[in-house]
Amino acid sequence: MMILRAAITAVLFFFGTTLWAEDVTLTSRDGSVEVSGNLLGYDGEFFRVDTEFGILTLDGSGVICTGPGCPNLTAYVAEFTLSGAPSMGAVLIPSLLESFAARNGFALRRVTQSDERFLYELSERATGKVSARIGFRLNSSDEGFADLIAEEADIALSLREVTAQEAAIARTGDLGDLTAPGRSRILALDALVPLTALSNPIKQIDMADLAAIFAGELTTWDDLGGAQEPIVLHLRDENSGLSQTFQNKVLAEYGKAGVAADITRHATNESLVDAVARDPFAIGMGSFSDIGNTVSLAVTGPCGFVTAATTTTIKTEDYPLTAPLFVYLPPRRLPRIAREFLHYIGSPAAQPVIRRAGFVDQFPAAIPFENQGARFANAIDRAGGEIDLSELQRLVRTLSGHSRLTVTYRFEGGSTELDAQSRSNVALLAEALERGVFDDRTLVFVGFSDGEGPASINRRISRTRARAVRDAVRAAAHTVDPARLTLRTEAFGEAMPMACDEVEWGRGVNRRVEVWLK
Amino acid sequence: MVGNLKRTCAKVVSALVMALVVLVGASHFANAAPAPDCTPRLTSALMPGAMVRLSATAPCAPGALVKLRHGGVLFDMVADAAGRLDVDIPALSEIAVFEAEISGQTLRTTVAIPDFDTYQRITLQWQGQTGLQIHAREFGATHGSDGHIWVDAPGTAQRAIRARGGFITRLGDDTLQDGHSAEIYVFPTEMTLRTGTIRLSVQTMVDAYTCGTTVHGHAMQPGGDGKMAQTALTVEIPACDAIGDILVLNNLLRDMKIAAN
Repeated sequence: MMILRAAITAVLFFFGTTLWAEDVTLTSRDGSVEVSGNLLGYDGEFFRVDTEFGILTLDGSGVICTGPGCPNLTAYVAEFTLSGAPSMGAVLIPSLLESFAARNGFALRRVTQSDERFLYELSERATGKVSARIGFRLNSSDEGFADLIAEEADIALSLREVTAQEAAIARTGDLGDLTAPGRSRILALDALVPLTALSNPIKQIDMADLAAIFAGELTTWDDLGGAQEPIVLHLRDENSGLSQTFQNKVLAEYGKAGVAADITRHATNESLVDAVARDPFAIGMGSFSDIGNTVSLAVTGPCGFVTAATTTTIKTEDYPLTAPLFVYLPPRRLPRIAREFLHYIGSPAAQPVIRRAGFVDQFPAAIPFENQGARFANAIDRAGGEIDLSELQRLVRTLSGHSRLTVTYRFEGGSTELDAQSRSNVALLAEALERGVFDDRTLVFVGFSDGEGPASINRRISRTRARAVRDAVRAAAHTVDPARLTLRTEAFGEAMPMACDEVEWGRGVNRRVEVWLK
Repeated sequence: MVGNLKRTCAKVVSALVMALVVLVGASHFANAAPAPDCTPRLTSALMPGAMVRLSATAPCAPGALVKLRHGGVLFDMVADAAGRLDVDIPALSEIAVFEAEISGQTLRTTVAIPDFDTYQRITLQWQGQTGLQIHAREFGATHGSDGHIWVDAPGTAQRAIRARGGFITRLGDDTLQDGHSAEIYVFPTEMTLRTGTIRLSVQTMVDAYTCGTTVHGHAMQPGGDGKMAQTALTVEIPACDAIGDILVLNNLLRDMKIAAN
């Protein structure tokens, strides 16, 4: 029986975090209150017990546990599991764990079964006592959500936001509202990039052509000005978050119902990237964070704007195919070491680790006015019509002497709802304000719009948006002394487009609120 | 009478001197068949490519176990019939300290490595006979091609010196049952003219001896802050129904991203 239980416990250890449900009795220290039931979990601080009154959470420091199910308090080891996207769990989170361990006096051991299943054991360097076992199960974003909902994992790693169906299923269980703000956070930024071999002469591609190629409508490179050779297509597996983002942001944008028949699917980014690098006639959709030995193509629209994926264009979301890395959390408290790790990954100390792993961190950087000549040149080039010289002069005079912060705010579809990266940016800018990073400086929230409709209306809309974002940031920065801050707003409507208004994704890039710093 | 005394004294003295000479001569003859010098010795020599040639001798200990230590890497070797051991080791620090435990003594030697920063290293170390192998595929090289570096195609230090690519050094005697072994992959990062990624994986064959077992060791590679960091590793070899399979771990060692110089 003991061997069986040990075997089952060993299996559970890799598959979940719920302890073997057994009867426990929790008695308050003065003996006055007693509660019995099945122990659902102990996170080092609180007991979760399923009792006749429902599920109760009790502070461990206030009760004594008796019964066969009581955990060994002194030998407590925090255990939690992360499940989801291999791009997040393969390199990035282990790198962050290693840095976190080094900073907090833990020694680390990686126990590996395979690239998809492994765990990290953290032990106190001084005593050798094991403090935590962190399990990883890396299959896909889809499976990450499934595991979180089935309570087989504590944290889901995903390259996409939770879908409405997944959120609905979660609500019917014990998982509450996965769409609520505190349930997810953005760990870092990545982006979807079209990749070709070094020897391919094509260096940029129109988004419409990209959609047509993968839908099987354009089949040879000479349609794009290249050689008369068939285009060889590569994509990640259908259940990968990356493929789903490509589906939503590119194929759906151009109304493509399905993909071409002969696409080579890959289980990992490495496999896709290495296959594309070898073939001068291949094109694949990969991640900015690991392009291996390929080159990424810049993306263009019908009107001639070209945007390449760089850390700056991804941070500002000026590049249209950004892909934030999401971490979804359970409704219950995680063990203290998990909470400390989550706090660490959002802190300034973790951002260099994120960059070194090849991803883009979200922390605000400043782009000096002088480095933005191309944008102003474009604005001048496209002026005439509704944007006249005086408006351009006002733009230049307002912004000269300022730097543009990489925090930029964009909206879901055509609404006034901020998109996921932008919601995260509200919190980030608020935190920076609270930390005093911008004390005695002036921040200007500058609203821009797309070119649809009259310029005067667009200017008014962009002013409303700039004010809304400014107010949201101010509201989020609770501890800031308003006297030390100047938060202004300005609006220039359609004066400085960054992408083509002819396509919806271009209009989405143009509808934005930038933040400028003096 | 005095003359006789003088002659006798002289005879005695010369006899004494003769005896002394004979005695000294005799002891000399005793030393000419010398007792063997059992002192173990360790010497090192700097080699091109930030390599060090270690020579260990233990004249009275043929076939002795020699435990070698350098920069956090441990490996065990066996001296030959003359008690001699030579091994080429990639230096793991700018001032490279080597220790050899031989015949119960720990010997130490230190070498300064002037071209240390020209190269970057990844090391994998383990104990036991499960052969872990580092596989490096440089700049998109396919399996089995020129740029695929592993123990059966390890490259040479000369290749790295000429900035053509990296090389692997395997250390340790794998006939020892519980011996420590290591592999070190060295790449000339500061000299290379190419930009791209070197894919690193760790592979091992699942066979009748290794199936279901656990290998303990550690890896050393640049950490989140760029500095070399050591991570303890435990690899669980698949169960015996997977005999014949090759366990490929792509994420145990992080790929090296190289920027052209």
